Amino acid sequence: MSESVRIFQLSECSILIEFTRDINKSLLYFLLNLKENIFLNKGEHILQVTNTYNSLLVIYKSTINNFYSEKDNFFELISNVSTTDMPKTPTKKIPVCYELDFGLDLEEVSKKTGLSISEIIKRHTHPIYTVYFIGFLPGFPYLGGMDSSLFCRRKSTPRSKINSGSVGIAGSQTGIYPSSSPGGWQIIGRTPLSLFDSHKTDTPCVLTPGDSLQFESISKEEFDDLQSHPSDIKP
Amino acid sequence: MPYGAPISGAMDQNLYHFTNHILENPANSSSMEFYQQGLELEFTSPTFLCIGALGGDFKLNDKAVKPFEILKIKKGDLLKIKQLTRGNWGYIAVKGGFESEGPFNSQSFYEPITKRQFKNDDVLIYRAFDGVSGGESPVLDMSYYTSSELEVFEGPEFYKLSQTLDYQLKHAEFSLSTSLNRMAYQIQERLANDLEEIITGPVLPGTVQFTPAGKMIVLMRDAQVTGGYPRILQFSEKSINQLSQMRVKSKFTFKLNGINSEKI
Repeated sequence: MSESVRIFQLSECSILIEFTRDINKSLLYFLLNLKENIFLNKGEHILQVTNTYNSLLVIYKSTINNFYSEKDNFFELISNVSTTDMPKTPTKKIPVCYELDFGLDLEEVSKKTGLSISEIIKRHTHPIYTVYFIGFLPGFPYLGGMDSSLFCRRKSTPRSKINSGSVGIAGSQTGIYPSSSPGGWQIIGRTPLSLFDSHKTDTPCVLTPGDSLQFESISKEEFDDLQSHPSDIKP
Repeated sequence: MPYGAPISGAMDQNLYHFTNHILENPANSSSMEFYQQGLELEFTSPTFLCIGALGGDFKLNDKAVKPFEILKIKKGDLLKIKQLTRGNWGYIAVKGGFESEGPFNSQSFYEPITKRQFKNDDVLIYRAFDGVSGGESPVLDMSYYTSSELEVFEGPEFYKLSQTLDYQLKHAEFSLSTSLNRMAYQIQERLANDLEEIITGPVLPGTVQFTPAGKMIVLMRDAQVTGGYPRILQFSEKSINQLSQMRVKSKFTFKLNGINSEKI
Protein backbone atom coordinates (compact mmCIF):
# COMPACT_ATOMS: atom_id res chain seq x y z
CA MET A 1 0.00 0.00 0.00
CA SER A 2 2.80 2.43 0.90
CA GLU A 3 4.01 2.76 -2.71
CA SER A 4 0.73 4.39 -3.73
CA VAL A 5 0.38 6.86 -0.88
CA ARG A 6 1.47 10.46 -0.62
CA ILE A 7 1.74 11.99 2.85
CA PHE A 8 1.88 15.76 2.55
CA GLN A 9 1.92 18.49 5.18
CA LEU A 10 -0.78 20.86 3.98
CA SER A 11 -0.57 23.50 6.71
CA GLU A 12 1.02 24.06 10.11
CA CYS A 13 -1.68 21.90 11.71
CA SER A 14 -2.71 19.41 9.04
CA ILE A 15 -1.46 16.42 7.08
CA LEU A 16 -2.99 15.13 3.85
CA ILE A 17 -2.84 11.38 3.18
CA GLU A 18 -3.63 10.75 -0.46
CA PHE A 19 -3.85 7.38 -2.22
CA THR A 20 -3.28 7.16 -5.95
CA ARG A 21 -5.16 3.90 -6.44
CA ASP A 22 -8.42 3.48 -8.36
CA ILE A 23 -11.40 4.89 -6.56
CA ASN A 24 -13.70 2.13 -5.46
CA LYS A 25 -15.59 0.82 -2.49
CA SER A 26 -12.64 -1.15 -1.15
CA LEU A 27 -10.52 2.03 -1.02
CA LEU A 28 -13.42 3.78 0.72
CA TYR A 29 -13.65 1.07 3.34
CA PHE A 30 -9.88 1.11 3.74
CA LEU A 31 -9.99 4.90 4.33
CA LEU A 32 -12.82 4.62 6.85
CA ASN A 33 -10.86 1.96 8.76
CA LEU A 34 -7.72 4.08 8.64
CA LYS A 35 -9.67 7.09 9.89
CA GLU A 36 -10.90 5.05 12.83
CA ASN A 37 -7.35 3.83 13.58
CA ILE A 38 -6.06 7.41 13.51
CA PHE A 39 -8.65 8.42 16.08
CA LEU A 40 -7.83 5.39 18.22
CA ASN A 41 -4.10 6.12 18.14
CA LYS A 42 -3.95 9.90 18.13
CA GLY A 43 -7.45 10.97 19.14
CA GLU A 44 -6.32 13.36 21.86
CA HIS A 45 -4.24 15.40 19.37
CA ILE A 46 -6.77 15.40 16.53
CA LEU A 47 -9.42 18.04 15.90
CA GLN A 48 -10.99 16.66 12.73
CA VAL A 49 -10.39 14.07 10.02
CA THR A 50 -12.05 14.61 6.66
CA ASN A 51 -12.22 11.72 4.23
CA THR A 52 -12.86 12.00 0.50
CA TYR A 53 -12.69 9.37 -2.27
CA ASN A 54 -8.95 8.84 -2.00
CA SER A 55 -7.71 11.11 0.79
CA LEU A 56 -7.79 11.80 4.49
CA LEU A 57 -7.03 15.24 5.87
CA VAL A 58 -5.93 15.00 9.48
CA ILE A 59 -6.31 18.32 11.31
CA TYR A 60 -4.43 18.56 14.60
CA LYS A 61 -5.37 20.66 17.60
CA SER A 62 -2.00 22.39 17.56
CA THR A 63 1.04 22.94 15.34
CA ILE A 64 2.78 19.77 14.17
CA ASN A 65 6.26 19.69 15.69
CA ASN A 66 7.73 16.77 13.84
CA PHE A 67 6.10 15.98 10.51
CA TYR A 68 8.47 13.10 9.76
CA SER A 69 7.67 11.21 12.92
CA GLU A 70 3.95 11.68 12.21
CA LYS A 71 4.54 10.45 8.69
CA ASP A 72 6.30 7.29 9.86
CA ASN A 73 3.48 6.73 12.28
CA PHE A 74 0.90 7.03 9.47
CA PHE A 75 2.82 4.51 7.32
CA GLU A 76 2.63 2.10 10.23
CA LEU A 77 -1.09 2.69 10.73
CA ILE A 78 -1.66 2.24 6.98
CA SER A 79 0.15 -1.09 6.97
CA ASN A 80 -2.02 -2.30 9.85
CA VAL A 81 -5.42 -1.43 8.35
CA SER A 82 -7.64 -4.44 7.83
CA THR A 83 -9.03 -4.85 4.32
CA THR A 84 -12.28 -6.62 5.01
CA ASP A 85 -15.24 -5.93 2.73
CA MET A 86 -17.69 -3.16 3.35
CA PRO A 87 -20.76 -4.34 5.27
CA LYS A 88 -23.95 -4.41 3.19
CA THR A 89 -26.47 -1.70 4.05
CA PRO A 90 -30.09 -1.43 2.84
CA THR A 91 -30.51 0.79 -0.22
CA LYS A 92 -32.18 4.12 0.59
CA LYS A 93 -34.55 5.59 -2.01
CA ILE A 94 -34.19 9.28 -2.79
CA PRO A 95 -37.09 10.89 -4.72
CA VAL A 96 -35.95 13.41 -7.36
CA CYS A 97 -37.95 15.63 -9.69
CA TYR A 98 -36.02 16.01 -12.95
CA GLU A 99 -38.30 18.65 -14.54
CA LEU A 100 -36.59 21.63 -16.18
CA ASP A 101 -37.72 24.04 -13.43
CA PHE A 102 -35.39 22.14 -11.10
CA GLY A 103 -32.96 20.58 -13.58
CA LEU A 104 -31.44 23.93 -14.52
CA ASP A 105 -28.55 22.36 -16.45
CA LEU A 106 -30.32 19.35 -17.95
CA GLU A 107 -30.17 20.91 -21.42
CA GLU A 108 -26.47 21.72 -21.03
CA VAL A 109 -25.73 18.22 -19.77
CA SER A 110 -27.73 16.83 -22.70
CA LYS A 111 -25.58 18.82 -25.16
CA LYS A 112 -22.34 17.86 -23.45
CA THR A 113 -23.11 14.15 -23.14
CA GLY A 114 -25.05 13.78 -26.40
CA LEU A 115 -27.85 12.05 -24.46
CA SER A 116 -31.52 13.02 -24.50
CA ILE A 117 -32.97 14.34 -21.25
CA SER A 118 -35.09 11.22 -20.77
CA GLU A 119 -31.99 9.06 -21.28
CA ILE A 120 -30.07 11.15 -18.69
CA ILE A 121 -32.88 10.55 -16.18
CA LYS A 122 -32.96 6.84 -16.99
CA ARG A 123 -29.20 6.48 -16.55
CA HIS A 124 -29.14 8.63 -13.40
CA THR A 125 -31.90 6.64 -11.65
CA HIS A 126 -30.61 3.20 -12.67
CA PRO A 127 -27.48 2.61 -10.52
CA ILE A 128 -27.20 1.94 -6.83
CA TYR A 129 -24.82 4.62 -5.55
CA THR A 130 -22.43 4.49 -2.62
CA VAL A 131 -22.03 7.45 -0.26
CA TYR A 132 -18.28 8.00 -0.24
CA PHE A 133 -18.14 10.99 2.06
CA ILE A 134 -19.99 14.01 3.39
CA GLY A 135 -18.31 17.21 2.34
CA PHE A 136 -18.54 20.63 0.76
CA LEU A 137 -21.57 21.55 2.91
CA PRO A 138 -22.98 19.95 6.09
CA GLY A 139 -24.81 16.85 4.90
CA PHE A 140 -23.69 16.98 1.23
CA PRO A 141 -23.21 13.35 0.09
CA TYR A 142 -20.66 12.57 -2.61
CA LEU A 143 -21.89 9.55 -4.48
CA GLY A 144 -19.88 7.04 -6.46
CA GLY A 145 -21.25 4.66 -9.05
CA MET A 146 -22.60 7.06 -11.66
CA ASP A 147 -22.96 5.84 -15.25
CA SER A 148 -19.78 7.04 -17.00
CA SER A 149 -21.80 8.33 -19.99
CA LEU A 150 -23.17 11.08 -17.69
CA PHE A 151 -19.68 12.53 -17.09
CA CYS A 152 -19.92 16.32 -17.22
CA ARG A 153 -17.43 18.92 -16.02
CA ARG A 154 -18.41 21.48 -13.40
CA LYS A 155 -19.57 24.87 -14.63
CA SER A 156 -16.59 27.09 -15.38
CA THR A 157 -18.12 29.87 -13.28
CA PRO A 158 -20.01 28.69 -10.19
CA ARG A 159 -23.61 29.85 -9.60
CA SER A 160 -24.03 32.28 -6.72
CA LYS A 161 -27.00 30.29 -5.38
CA ILE A 162 -28.15 26.73 -5.80
CA ASN A 163 -31.35 25.75 -4.00
CA SER A 164 -31.53 23.23 -1.20
CA GLY A 165 -32.24 19.69 -2.45
CA SER A 166 -30.67 20.27 -5.88
CA VAL A 167 -29.12 17.15 -7.41
CA GLY A 168 -26.00 17.76 -9.44
CA ILE A 169 -23.22 16.22 -11.50
CA ALA A 170 -19.54 17.19 -11.33
CA GLY A 171 -17.21 15.11 -13.46
CA SER A 172 -17.90 11.46 -12.69
CA GLN A 173 -19.62 12.15 -9.37
CA THR A 174 -23.15 13.05 -8.41
CA GLY A 175 -24.44 14.62 -5.20
CA ILE A 176 -27.23 16.53 -3.46
CA TYR A 177 -27.13 20.10 -2.05
CA PRO A 178 -28.57 19.78 1.50
CA SER A 179 -28.89 23.56 1.86
CA SER A 180 -28.83 26.59 -0.42
CA SER A 181 -25.31 27.53 -1.41
CA PRO A 182 -23.11 28.87 -4.17
CA GLY A 183 -21.82 26.00 -6.27
CA GLY A 184 -20.43 24.83 -9.59
CA TRP A 185 -22.18 21.50 -10.13
CA GLN A 186 -24.40 20.88 -13.17
CA ILE A 187 -27.92 20.77 -11.70
CA ILE A 188 -30.22 18.10 -13.11
CA GLY A 189 -33.05 17.82 -10.55
CA ARG A 190 -34.21 18.40 -6.99
CA THR A 191 -35.27 16.23 -4.06
CA PRO A 192 -37.86 17.29 -1.47
CA LEU A 193 -35.94 15.25 1.13
CA SER A 194 -34.15 17.16 3.90
CA LEU A 195 -30.67 15.65 4.23
CA PHE A 196 -29.30 17.51 7.21
CA ASP A 197 -30.83 18.69 10.48
CA SER A 198 -28.43 20.07 13.08
CA HIS A 199 -31.13 19.85 15.77
CA LYS A 200 -30.84 16.07 15.62
CA THR A 201 -27.46 16.19 17.31
CA ASP A 202 -26.97 12.39 17.35
CA THR A 203 -27.83 11.79 13.71
CA PRO A 204 -27.98 15.14 11.90
CA CYS A 205 -27.21 13.48 8.54
CA VAL A 206 -29.68 11.21 6.74
CA LEU A 207 -26.73 9.63 4.89
CA THR A 208 -23.34 8.44 6.13
CA PRO A 209 -20.24 7.18 4.29
CA GLY A 210 -20.73 3.58 3.17
CA ASP A 211 -24.54 3.92 2.68
CA SER A 212 -26.19 2.74 -0.56
CA LEU A 213 -28.90 4.75 -2.31
CA GLN A 214 -30.91 4.95 -5.52
CA PHE A 215 -32.70 7.93 -7.08
CA GLU A 216 -36.38 7.64 -8.01
CA SER A 217 -37.85 9.99 -10.60
CA ILE A 218 -40.97 11.83 -9.38
CA SER A 219 -43.30 14.37 -11.02
CA LYS A 220 -43.60 18.02 -10.03
CA GLU A 221 -46.94 17.21 -8.35
CA GLU A 222 -45.36 14.44 -6.28
CA PHE A 223 -42.49 16.79 -5.40
CA ASP A 224 -44.90 19.48 -4.17
CA ASP A 225 -46.88 16.91 -2.24
CA LEU A 226 -43.80 15.41 -0.54
CA GLN A 227 -42.39 18.83 0.23
CA SER A 228 -45.55 19.84 2.02
CA HIS A 229 -45.68 16.47 3.84
CA PRO A 230 -42.02 15.72 4.57
CA SER A 231 -42.90 12.94 7.03
CA ASP A 232 -44.17 10.87 4.05
CA ILE A 233 -40.59 10.55 2.79
CA LYS A 234 -39.02 7.32 3.97
CA PRO A 235 -35.55 7.23 2.45
CA MET B 1 -17.02 16.62 12.68
CA PRO B 2 -17.99 13.88 10.25
CA TYR B 3 -20.91 15.81 8.74
CA GLY B 4 -19.10 18.14 6.37
CA ALA B 5 -19.16 21.20 8.63
CA PRO B 6 -16.09 23.44 8.85
CA ILE B 7 -14.38 24.35 12.13
CA SER B 8 -15.39 27.98 11.51
CA GLY B 9 -14.55 30.57 14.20
CA ALA B 10 -13.08 34.06 14.16
CA MET B 11 -11.89 35.37 10.79
CA ASP B 12 -8.84 36.99 12.37
CA GLN B 13 -7.75 34.53 15.03
CA ASN B 14 -4.83 36.74 16.06
CA LEU B 15 -7.02 39.74 16.89
CA TYR B 16 -9.72 37.60 18.48
CA HIS B 17 -7.26 35.85 20.80
CA PHE B 18 -5.47 39.10 21.60
CA THR B 19 -8.72 40.79 22.62
CA ASN B 20 -9.62 37.91 24.94
CA HIS B 21 -6.09 37.93 26.31
CA ILE B 22 -6.41 41.59 27.36
CA LEU B 23 -9.42 40.67 29.51
CA GLU B 24 -7.56 37.61 30.81
CA ASN B 25 -10.37 35.45 29.49
CA PRO B 26 -9.91 31.71 29.04
CA ALA B 27 -8.66 30.89 25.52
CA ASN B 28 -11.51 30.43 23.04
CA SER B 29 -13.99 32.51 25.08
CA SER B 30 -16.68 33.59 22.68
CA SER B 31 -16.67 37.19 21.52
CA MET B 32 -18.78 39.07 19.01
CA GLU B 33 -17.31 39.55 15.55
CA PHE B 34 -18.40 42.54 13.47
CA TYR B 35 -17.75 43.56 9.89
CA GLN B 36 -16.68 47.11 9.08
CA GLN B 37 -19.52 49.26 10.37
CA GLY B 38 -22.76 49.95 12.20
CA LEU B 39 -23.34 48.26 15.55
CA GLU B 40 -24.95 49.45 18.78
CA LEU B 41 -24.99 47.45 21.99
CA GLU B 42 -26.81 48.21 25.22
CA PHE B 43 -25.47 46.40 28.28
CA THR B 44 -27.75 44.78 30.81
CA SER B 45 -25.18 43.95 33.51
CA PRO B 46 -21.81 45.22 34.66
CA THR B 47 -18.71 43.77 33.03
CA PHE B 48 -15.37 44.72 31.53
CA LEU B 49 -15.25 45.11 27.79
CA CYS B 50 -12.56 45.29 25.16
CA ILE B 51 -12.89 46.18 21.49
CA GLY B 52 -10.40 44.42 19.25
CA ALA B 53 -9.93 46.39 16.04
CA LEU B 54 -7.15 47.73 13.85
CA GLY B 55 -8.67 51.23 13.99
CA GLY B 56 -12.10 52.77 14.10
CA ASP B 57 -14.66 55.15 15.47
CA PHE B 58 -16.13 53.81 18.74
CA LYS B 59 -18.16 55.54 21.45
CA LEU B 60 -19.22 54.46 24.91
CA ASN B 61 -22.11 56.65 26.07
CA ASP B 62 -21.11 59.20 23.39
CA LYS B 63 -17.53 59.41 24.65
CA ALA B 64 -14.83 58.29 22.21
CA VAL B 65 -13.01 55.12 23.26
CA LYS B 66 -10.06 53.29 21.76
CA PRO B 67 -9.55 49.71 20.72
CA PHE B 68 -7.79 47.52 23.28
CA GLU B 69 -8.81 49.75 26.21
CA ILE B 70 -10.30 47.85 29.12
CA LEU B 71 -13.66 49.57 29.54
CA LYS B 72 -15.66 49.29 32.74
CA ILE B 73 -19.30 48.75 31.83
CA LYS B 74 -22.36 49.29 33.99
CA LYS B 75 -25.98 48.41 33.37
CA GLY B 76 -27.53 50.63 30.68
CA ASP B 77 -24.25 51.66 29.03
CA LEU B 78 -24.43 52.12 25.27
CA LEU B 79 -21.58 51.18 22.94
CA LYS B 80 -21.65 52.52 19.38
CA ILE B 81 -19.39 51.13 16.68
CA LYS B 82 -19.66 53.64 13.87
CA GLN B 83 -17.09 52.14 11.58
CA LEU B 84 -13.73 50.49 11.26
CA THR B 85 -11.23 52.84 9.69
CA ARG B 86 -8.82 49.99 9.11
CA GLY B 87 -9.31 46.28 8.55
CA ASN B 88 -12.55 44.41 7.99
CA TRP B 89 -13.24 42.48 11.16
CA GLY B 90 -13.44 43.62 14.77
CA TYR B 91 -14.17 41.83 18.04
CA ILE B 92 -16.09 42.75 21.15
CA ALA B 93 -15.07 40.71 24.15
CA VAL B 94 -16.60 40.82 27.62
CA LYS B 95 -15.12 39.46 30.82
CA GLY B 96 -15.63 35.69 30.77
CA GLY B 97 -17.01 35.66 27.23
CA PHE B 98 -20.59 35.61 25.94
CA GLU B 99 -22.68 32.61 26.84
CA SER B 100 -24.32 30.74 24.02
CA GLU B 101 -25.12 27.23 23.00
CA GLY B 102 -24.82 25.86 19.54
CA PRO B 103 -24.95 22.44 17.96
CA PHE B 104 -21.86 20.22 18.17
CA ASN B 105 -20.34 22.10 21.16
CA SER B 106 -19.56 25.12 19.01
CA GLN B 107 -20.38 28.76 19.66
CA SER B 108 -19.59 29.83 16.08
CA PHE B 109 -22.21 31.11 13.71
CA TYR B 110 -22.27 29.13 10.46
CA GLU B 111 -25.27 29.73 8.30
CA PRO B 112 -26.39 26.29 7.20
CA ILE B 113 -26.43 25.26 10.88
CA THR B 114 -27.08 28.44 12.87
CA LYS B 115 -28.34 31.85 11.93
CA ARG B 116 -25.98 33.96 9.84
CA GLN B 117 -25.64 36.98 12.08
CA PHE B 118 -27.24 38.99 14.88
CA LYS B 119 -30.30 41.08 14.17
CA ASN B 120 -31.73 44.19 15.82
CA ASP B 121 -33.03 43.57 19.33
CA ASP B 122 -31.25 40.23 19.74
CA VAL B 123 -30.31 39.58 23.36
CA LEU B 124 -26.96 38.02 24.27
CA ILE B 125 -26.17 36.58 27.64
CA TYR B 126 -22.99 37.16 29.61
CA ARG B 127 -22.19 36.67 33.25
CA ALA B 128 -22.21 39.92 35.24
CA PHE B 129 -18.74 40.86 36.52
CA ASP B 130 -18.23 43.59 39.05
CA GLY B 131 -14.66 42.97 40.17
CA VAL B 132 -11.47 44.72 39.21
CA SER B 133 -9.94 44.62 35.77
CA GLY B 134 -6.81 42.68 34.90
CA GLY B 135 -3.36 44.20 34.81
CA GLU B 136 -1.89 46.45 32.17
CA SER B 137 -3.03 46.05 28.60
CA PRO B 138 -0.51 44.45 26.29
CA VAL B 139 0.08 46.33 23.04
CA LEU B 140 -0.91 44.80 19.70
CA ASP B 141 1.98 44.40 17.30
CA MET B 142 0.55 46.37 14.37
CA SER B 143 3.45 45.39 12.11
CA TYR B 144 1.66 42.03 11.87
CA TYR B 145 -0.87 43.77 9.61
CA THR B 146 1.35 46.12 7.60
CA SER B 147 3.12 43.57 5.45
CA SER B 148 1.86 43.17 1.91
CA GLU B 149 3.81 39.94 1.55
CA LEU B 150 1.72 36.91 2.45
CA GLU B 151 3.35 33.64 3.41
CA VAL B 152 2.11 30.63 1.48
CA PHE B 153 3.09 26.97 1.14
CA GLU B 154 2.84 24.76 -1.91
CA GLY B 155 -0.63 23.23 -2.20
CA PRO B 156 -1.16 19.58 -3.15
CA GLU B 157 -1.49 20.43 -6.88
CA PHE B 158 1.26 23.08 -7.00
CA TYR B 159 3.63 20.63 -8.68
CA LYS B 160 1.30 20.44 -11.67
CA LEU B 161 1.64 24.16 -12.49
CA SER B 162 3.58 25.27 -15.55
CA GLN B 163 6.83 27.18 -15.11
CA THR B 164 5.03 30.34 -16.23
CA LEU B 165 2.37 30.02 -13.54
CA ASP B 166 5.00 29.12 -10.96
CA TYR B 167 6.90 32.30 -11.88
CA GLN B 168 3.77 34.47 -11.87
CA LEU B 169 2.71 33.26 -8.44
CA LYS B 170 6.16 33.94 -7.00
CA HIS B 171 6.70 37.35 -8.59
CA ALA B 172 3.46 39.04 -9.62
CA GLU B 173 1.45 41.45 -7.52
CA PHE B 174 -2.16 40.49 -6.86
CA SER B 175 -5.16 42.36 -5.49
CA LEU B 176 -8.38 41.53 -3.72
CA SER B 177 -11.63 41.56 -5.66
CA THR B 178 -14.93 42.83 -4.24
CA SER B 179 -15.95 39.26 -3.44
CA LEU B 180 -14.95 38.95 0.23
CA ASN B 181 -16.93 37.04 2.80
CA ARG B 182 -16.51 34.52 5.58
CA MET B 183 -16.37 31.64 3.10
CA ALA B 184 -13.79 32.97 0.67
CA TYR B 185 -11.83 35.96 -0.62
CA GLN B 186 -11.42 36.07 -4.39
CA ILE B 187 -8.32 37.44 -6.04
CA GLN B 188 -8.98 39.95 -8.80
CA GLU B 189 -6.34 38.90 -11.32
CA ARG B 190 -6.83 35.80 -13.41
CA LEU B 191 -4.12 33.47 -14.62
CA ALA B 192 -4.41 31.10 -17.57
CA ASN B 193 -5.37 27.72 -16.14
CA ASP B 194 -4.77 24.54 -18.06
CA LEU B 195 -4.92 22.19 -15.07
CA GLU B 196 -7.38 19.32 -15.02
CA GLU B 197 -10.04 19.29 -12.30
CA ILE B 198 -9.09 17.07 -9.40
CA ILE B 199 -11.16 14.33 -7.91
CA THR B 200 -12.81 16.09 -4.97
CA GLY B 201 -10.33 16.41 -2.11
CA PRO B 202 -10.14 17.97 1.36
CA VAL B 203 -9.59 21.72 1.73
CA LEU B 204 -8.93 24.06 4.67
CA PRO B 205 -9.13 27.73 5.50
CA GLY B 206 -6.24 29.24 3.55
CA THR B 207 -6.39 26.79 0.65
CA VAL B 208 -6.14 28.61 -2.70
CA GLN B 209 -8.40 27.00 -5.29
CA PHE B 210 -7.71 27.62 -8.97
CA THR B 211 -10.90 27.58 -11.05
CA PRO B 212 -11.08 26.59 -14.74
CA ALA B 213 -11.75 30.29 -15.52
CA GLY B 214 -8.36 31.11 -13.96
CA LYS B 215 -9.70 32.70 -10.76
CA MET B 216 -7.89 32.15 -7.50
CA ILE B 217 -10.18 31.72 -4.52
CA VAL B 218 -8.70 31.83 -1.03
CA LEU B 219 -10.90 29.78 1.26
CA MET B 220 -11.63 31.40 4.62
CA ARG B 221 -12.99 30.26 8.00
CA ASP B 222 -16.47 29.19 6.87
CA ALA B 223 -15.26 27.43 3.73
CA GLN B 224 -16.44 24.02 2.71
CA VAL B 225 -14.35 21.06 3.86
CA THR B 226 -13.87 19.53 0.40
CA GLY B 227 -13.51 20.91 -3.11
CA GLY B 228 -12.77 19.89 -6.68
CA TYR B 229 -10.64 22.76 -7.96
CA PRO B 230 -6.86 22.28 -7.90
CA ARG B 231 -5.36 23.40 -4.58
CA ILE B 232 -2.34 25.36 -5.73
CA LEU B 233 -1.30 27.21 -2.57
CA GLN B 234 -1.94 27.09 1.15
CA PHE B 235 -1.84 30.25 3.28
CA SER B 236 -0.10 30.05 6.65
CA GLU B 237 -2.22 30.70 9.75
CA LYS B 238 -0.65 34.15 10.03
CA SER B 239 -1.35 35.08 6.43
CA ILE B 240 -5.01 34.00 6.71
CA ASN B 241 -5.36 36.52 9.55
CA GLN B 242 -3.50 39.17 7.57
CA LEU B 243 -5.56 38.60 4.44
CA SER B 244 -8.82 38.67 6.41
CA GLN B 245 -8.15 42.30 7.35
CA MET B 246 -7.21 43.44 3.84
CA ARG B 247 -9.79 45.50 2.03
CA VAL B 248 -11.03 45.41 -1.56
CA LYS B 249 -8.27 46.33 -4.05
CA SER B 250 -5.50 45.77 -1.46
CA LYS B 251 -2.34 44.66 -3.22
CA PHE B 252 -0.08 41.83 -2.09
CA THR B 253 2.52 39.34 -3.21
CA PHE B 254 3.02 35.73 -2.21
CA LYS B 255 6.09 34.61 -0.31
CA LEU B 256 6.41 30.91 -0.98
CA ASN B 257 8.01 29.19 2.00
CA GLY B 258 8.80 25.57 2.64
CA ILE B 259 6.86 23.58 5.13
CA ASN B 260 7.90 20.13 6.33
CA SER B 261 6.45 18.52 3.24
CA GLU B 262 7.89 15.83 1.11
CA LYS B 263 6.52 14.23 -1.99
CA ILE B 264 6.70 10.54 -2.63
